[in-house]
Amino acid sequence: MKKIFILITTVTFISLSISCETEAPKPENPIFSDVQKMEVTYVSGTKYAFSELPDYVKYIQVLIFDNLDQPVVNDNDKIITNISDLDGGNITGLSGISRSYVESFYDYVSGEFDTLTTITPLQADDWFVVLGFDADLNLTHASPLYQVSDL
Amino acid sequence: MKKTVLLLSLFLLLPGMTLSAQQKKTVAVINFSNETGGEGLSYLSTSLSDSVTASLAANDRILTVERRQISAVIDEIKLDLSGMVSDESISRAGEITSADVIIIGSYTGNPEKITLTMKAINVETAEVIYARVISAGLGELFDVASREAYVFASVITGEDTGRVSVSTVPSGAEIYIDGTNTGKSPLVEYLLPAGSHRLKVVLKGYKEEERDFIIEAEKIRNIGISLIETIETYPWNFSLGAMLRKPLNSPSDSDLFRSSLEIPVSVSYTFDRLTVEGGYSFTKMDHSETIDSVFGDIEQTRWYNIHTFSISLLMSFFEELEYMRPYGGLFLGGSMISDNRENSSYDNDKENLDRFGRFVIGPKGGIVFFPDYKLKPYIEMLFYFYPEDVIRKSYTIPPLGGGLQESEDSFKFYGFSIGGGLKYSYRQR
Repeated sequence: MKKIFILITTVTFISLSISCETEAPKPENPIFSDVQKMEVTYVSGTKYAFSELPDYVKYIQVLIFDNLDQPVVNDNDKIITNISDLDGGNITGLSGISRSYVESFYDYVSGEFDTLTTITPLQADDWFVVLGFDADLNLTHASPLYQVSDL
Repeated sequence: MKKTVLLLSLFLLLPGMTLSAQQKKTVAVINFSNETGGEGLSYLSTSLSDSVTASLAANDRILTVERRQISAVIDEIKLDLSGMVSDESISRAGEITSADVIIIGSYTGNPEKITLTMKAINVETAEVIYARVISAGLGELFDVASREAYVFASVITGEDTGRVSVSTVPSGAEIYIDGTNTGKSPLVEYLLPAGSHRLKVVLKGYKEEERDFIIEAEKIRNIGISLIETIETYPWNFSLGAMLRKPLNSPSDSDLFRSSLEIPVSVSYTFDRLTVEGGYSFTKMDHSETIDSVFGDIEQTRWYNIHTFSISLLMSFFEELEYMRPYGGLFLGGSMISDNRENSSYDNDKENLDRFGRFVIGPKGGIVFFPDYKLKPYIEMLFYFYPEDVIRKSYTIPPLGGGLQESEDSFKFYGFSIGGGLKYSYRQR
């Protein structure tokens, strides 16, 4: 009986240790430097909430890249250089997005979002980034580069 | 015996005078007396009286006694033109010269201003029938004396004469009639031959008045003139205006730069026809543009604040024009240009993008209206030429995944301004 108890305890400990080692830490830094950080959290269904944004943030871009095409960043120019690899997303002006959340993701085809084709549910390893702009199109906020599984 | 010879010689030398003596007046002009106290102007004694004699001779109702021929007579009877002659001397002179009238005179003063007194005396009655005091500089003295001689001729021959009285407000103005200075106003019953005459009134600080008038026989013409105050010199001018500044080109052949209001102020100093002007102007020139983005067309409000300091050299033209004074010249200076955009992320929503200075030069011209007044409107036009290109930052945004991308354009920054304002002239006597 004592051996069984030790065995169960050992297996449980090892299992917990393994599970803790496989959970990656959530990215902390915005995708661009010199901008303010906006955080994204998963709500439910296809809905993801943005951290509370100041009033001067007027425009939002949510960009989804699949696991094969990780965004390439030019931090000097504050630009994602391989935007042609964009898989989908949403922007202010389309449905399913506001300054507080996004719950619709459209396919990105030929340089435009196809509002008739959604790409939800997202895959766990899709890359997920959100950018915030003020009324003068200054990039003022950016999220870290997440993978959907991070949220 | 000596007197008899003199009389005889006069009769022999002046035969023409006796032919029409019944109809004509014979006038002898005696050497004028030099009262200047020096010998420098002594030559006027004979030359002035010669000039008066010549002018009298122009009247076909007057016979003049040839002066050289009477000089001996004058010496003989010790007659001069001091004015202090006795009735007896007059009578004697008339007797010797066979003159009906003799004209005597004296002059005082200096070459800048000589005062000449002339009297016409009836030999028979020793009565002064006309006298006149005139003043003129040496340069004009002979002309003035000659013109006066015409008046004397009119009086002597009994031609029609009238009188003119001239009053001015304010008084004290110099009165010129037919170019002769007749003294300061008020002028009272000044004798003139009947006919047309020209009056000129001059008073420092007032606009010169000139007009024609007619004298009728035996009548008095009264002329009243209210002089208009003018400013002799307005060396200091201050101006404030409003102009429309029109750019003539924009970067990349676009029509980014728009006409804008320009506010110029200046201080100037005038040397005769040349004006040196120091000026400052400010304009806020709009060069907003539309940025094409995935969120739609976003208007980016942009503007240059242009502070321009300049010095102008201007010449005025057509000084004879009464109500306007065109001017033109060149200006040069520098513009401090700051490039700005509206940006809600900055204090007061304003972001200064760049600031730089540029040399500027160009032609400038305009018209001042009512130039003799202290406050006067003007219109002006100038062309701005910046030899060095001006810089403008421009912005684009990628379709997705990035912020504004900045770049720089450089371009020629020509333009012109047209407008007007008011000039205030500071009076400095």
